[in-house]
Amino acid sequence: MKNLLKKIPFPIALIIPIELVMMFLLIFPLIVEIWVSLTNWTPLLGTNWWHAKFVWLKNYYQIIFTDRRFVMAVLRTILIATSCVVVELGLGLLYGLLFVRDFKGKRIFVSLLLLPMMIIPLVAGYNFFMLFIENGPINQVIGWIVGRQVTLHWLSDPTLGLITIMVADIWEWTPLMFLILMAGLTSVPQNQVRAAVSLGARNFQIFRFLTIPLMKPIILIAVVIRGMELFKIFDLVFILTRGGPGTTTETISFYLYSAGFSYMRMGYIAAGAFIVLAIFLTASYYILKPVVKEIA
Amino acid sequence: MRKAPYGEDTRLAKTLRYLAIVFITLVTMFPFFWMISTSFKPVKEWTPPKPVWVAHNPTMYNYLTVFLGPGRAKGGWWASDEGVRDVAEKEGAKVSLTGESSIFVPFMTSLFVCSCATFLSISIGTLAAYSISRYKFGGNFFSFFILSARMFPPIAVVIPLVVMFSAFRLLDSYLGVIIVYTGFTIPFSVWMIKSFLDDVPHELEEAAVIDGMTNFQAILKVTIPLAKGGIAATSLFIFILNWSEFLIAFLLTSTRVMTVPILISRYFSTTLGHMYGPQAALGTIATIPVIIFGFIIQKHLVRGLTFGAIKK
Amino acid sequence: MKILLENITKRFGGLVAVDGLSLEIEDGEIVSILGPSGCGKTTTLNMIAGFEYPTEGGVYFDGRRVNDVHPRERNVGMVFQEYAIFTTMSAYDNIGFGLRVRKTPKKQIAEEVVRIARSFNLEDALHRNINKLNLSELQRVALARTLTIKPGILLLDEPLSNLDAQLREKTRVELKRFHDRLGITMVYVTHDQIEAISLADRIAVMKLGRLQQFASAETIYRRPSNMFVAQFIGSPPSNLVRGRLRRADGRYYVERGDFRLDVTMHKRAIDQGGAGDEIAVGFRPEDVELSTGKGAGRLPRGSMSAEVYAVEPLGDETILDLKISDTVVRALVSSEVTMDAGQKASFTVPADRVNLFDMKTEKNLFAA
Repeated sequence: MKNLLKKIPFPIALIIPIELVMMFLLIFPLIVEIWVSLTNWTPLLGTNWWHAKFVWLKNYYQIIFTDRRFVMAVLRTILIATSCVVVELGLGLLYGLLFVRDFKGKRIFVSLLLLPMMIIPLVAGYNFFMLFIENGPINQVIGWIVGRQVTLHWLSDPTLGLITIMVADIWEWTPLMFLILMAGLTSVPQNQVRAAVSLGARNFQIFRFLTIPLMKPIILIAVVIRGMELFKIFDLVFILTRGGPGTTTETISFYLYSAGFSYMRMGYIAAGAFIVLAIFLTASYYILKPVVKEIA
Repeated sequence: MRKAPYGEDTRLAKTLRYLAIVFITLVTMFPFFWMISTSFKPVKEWTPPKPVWVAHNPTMYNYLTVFLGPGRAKGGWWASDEGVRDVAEKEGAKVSLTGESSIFVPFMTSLFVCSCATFLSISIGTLAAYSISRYKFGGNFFSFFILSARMFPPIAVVIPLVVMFSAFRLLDSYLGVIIVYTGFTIPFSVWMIKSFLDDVPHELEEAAVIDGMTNFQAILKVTIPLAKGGIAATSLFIFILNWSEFLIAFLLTSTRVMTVPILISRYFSTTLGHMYGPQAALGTIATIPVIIFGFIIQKHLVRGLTFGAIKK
Repeated sequence: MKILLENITKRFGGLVAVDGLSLEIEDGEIVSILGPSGCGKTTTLNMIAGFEYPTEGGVYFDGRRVNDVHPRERNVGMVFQEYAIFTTMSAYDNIGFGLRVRKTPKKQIAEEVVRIARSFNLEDALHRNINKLNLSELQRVALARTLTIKPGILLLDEPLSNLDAQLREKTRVELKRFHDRLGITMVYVTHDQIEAISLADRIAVMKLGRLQQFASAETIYRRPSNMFVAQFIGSPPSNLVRGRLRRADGRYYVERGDFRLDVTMHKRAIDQGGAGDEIAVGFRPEDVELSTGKGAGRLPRGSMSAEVYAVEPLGDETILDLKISDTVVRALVSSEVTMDAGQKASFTVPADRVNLFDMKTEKNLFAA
């Protein structure tokens, strides 16, 4: 046995443990999921999943073409993901620009602004819950600004609920964009900026022609990473709106969870999960390919 | 107005910038402020008709609840809280929490689970990171493959995992959670450590091997000590990720294993509704280690969160 | 454009980077600011460009004070060390940048860029991937792009430093031709004295923020204003023997151990100079006259005997290190002279080719 082990080339030996983990946690579940998605298994019937009856692509057909709830969840998730990324990027850039020059206490302010990122997301969710309930401080402050009492139903209105979720996510993750973009802004070579200045460029021209192009790879990475996580958003939805009212603020993850635990039609849910996975993986493969090339 | 020399800003610009930063910081800190403030509020002030910004009658009961577990309306220390008494009298019922524990067991659980998962993730990740860093193993495909673990919505993976785990008796077990946590943080550990290993010149291990060490010894004795700062930072980073994790624990555990985030979500009483006070108290307490760790590794946060792509 | 630096001082907190520098540069001149690292030369360049604000003193272009003029308005072309090419743009866009930011119409930009590119032989490089250009092309792009704004002054930071010897030679020639064609005032910063001598009309030598000497290469070479300049300029470096003045029988000698030079012809300068007895003698290796003592009848007057310490062949010339007492004198001789280490040699130094320095002030006694 030891001789056999010695024969394995070193680099391969190194990655055996990780392969095992990935196999166990990703590949195997994926295969199970694909299998189950082709059946109509539900644990309610008491049978094991490998005994479930095959219905082949029926689940897929049903979920894509007849399940409005699923489709809406997908669209909604895309909406949330894109809006949040855009806002977080913009705000992060704004923060980064504010912090480009040194000033007294800069370090402290940076540390403070990074705090939202370090809070447990669940706790952040509960915080925002408290803030946005009808008799909470947010409505109070809006009331002060507007001049009369305001009772917006942030957590129980389909549109407002979505906004609340987005605001919470933006609050929590803008610091990440800020951090990444600040790293990018400070890595702009000083001499290139000076060259541009000596050629007559004004500040916003430098920003447009020099800074932004130089930051493109970093912006790309930030967008991809944040987008990736946003796609899976669950915690905030769970706490703030429970997907409600009804199912109007459901995201993909939440739908799968909710439908899975209420319908118990695991085959159906597995099909949904797999569709999401497939779309997501292919989309990210094509987006990530240039990014990975830059990293590796 | 006098123009500023190149490289500096005018006084007006500096003042405006400072104001903007202060404003942004205040807005950003507001939820924190609210949480800490709420952790000292008695029941009546949790969701009054007009929101209470700073507790009129600050109390330590929320923190007591966190540490000692729920008391009972009659006879227990909860009885001194007016709001609780009101409810108890009106409905003649005992005020009880659906979550039974005080913080101690979940805290230990979280500590144990997160530490183990972090350790495993780092160990396995370092090996793989070394393989990628030195041998460029698997090219882009392998790297992407590892990264893809991070892209799976946990929900999608958990459904089959629940099935698998129940077969292996791993549901609601420490080992189960540890395994899943390890798997989900491996992309971070591999990529982050790889970027740290890239900073260590590979000639050093080669020299060690020439001097007679085996490959593995060389890594252990030469490379890792040199990268230990980065590995430590990665460990803290992954610990934070594990500590904050909710969904997976929520789906894979029920009664025996409870992590701190799960406990927070359990602060719900049938009579009082959301127990904002204890939630805020526990939230405050639970966030402190994360903030401390975050401070320590602040320099490496960018590297970690971008999978090693950007080194500040 | 004429440049006048009037008593410029730049302080960074407690550090004085440039101290009371005054320089007057004529229109169309090439001036080199030369000195070791930390002497303030780059800071000076930045103050001319406008990237640093003088703590004291004034910068004047053609008589107009420009301290408060923003660098983008100064119409100064600047070529940075390592060129600072805009890596996200093509060579075409780099060259046309100056025009683009002035909102020049596209057609006009195209004409200008092509015209300039042609004069630099950059036509093929215009739309190639900027990362694929070689060093020479990159430098030409860096130069070309400054021209589109028709600058009155051209500033260069270590223009030849990151080139290998061959390319350096070639580039130097091109820069010279470039300047001759345009007649633009050029100021460049370097730490390499050969770079300074070969290109500049006048050289400003700086040390620790202070101007040491501002003159043509020839003047600096023949009459260095102080000991620092004497040793800094020249390759191989000048000899500098720190000795004592001795007056005997109406004659003046500078001595150190066995080293003894008759400097009576400079008697007046010595007396008027008010120097003490500590005098240093500076002379160039090529002025050392060697007498091998091989079959020589009489040795010339004032010969000093030394031992050959080292021999450095340079091709058609050879450097001999001659040890005399505790000093080493370097002599530059033709390679026909063959000597070995350990041999004895005699040499003289013609007193009319030396410079004498007051060791206390380090100044040249002959300086005007």
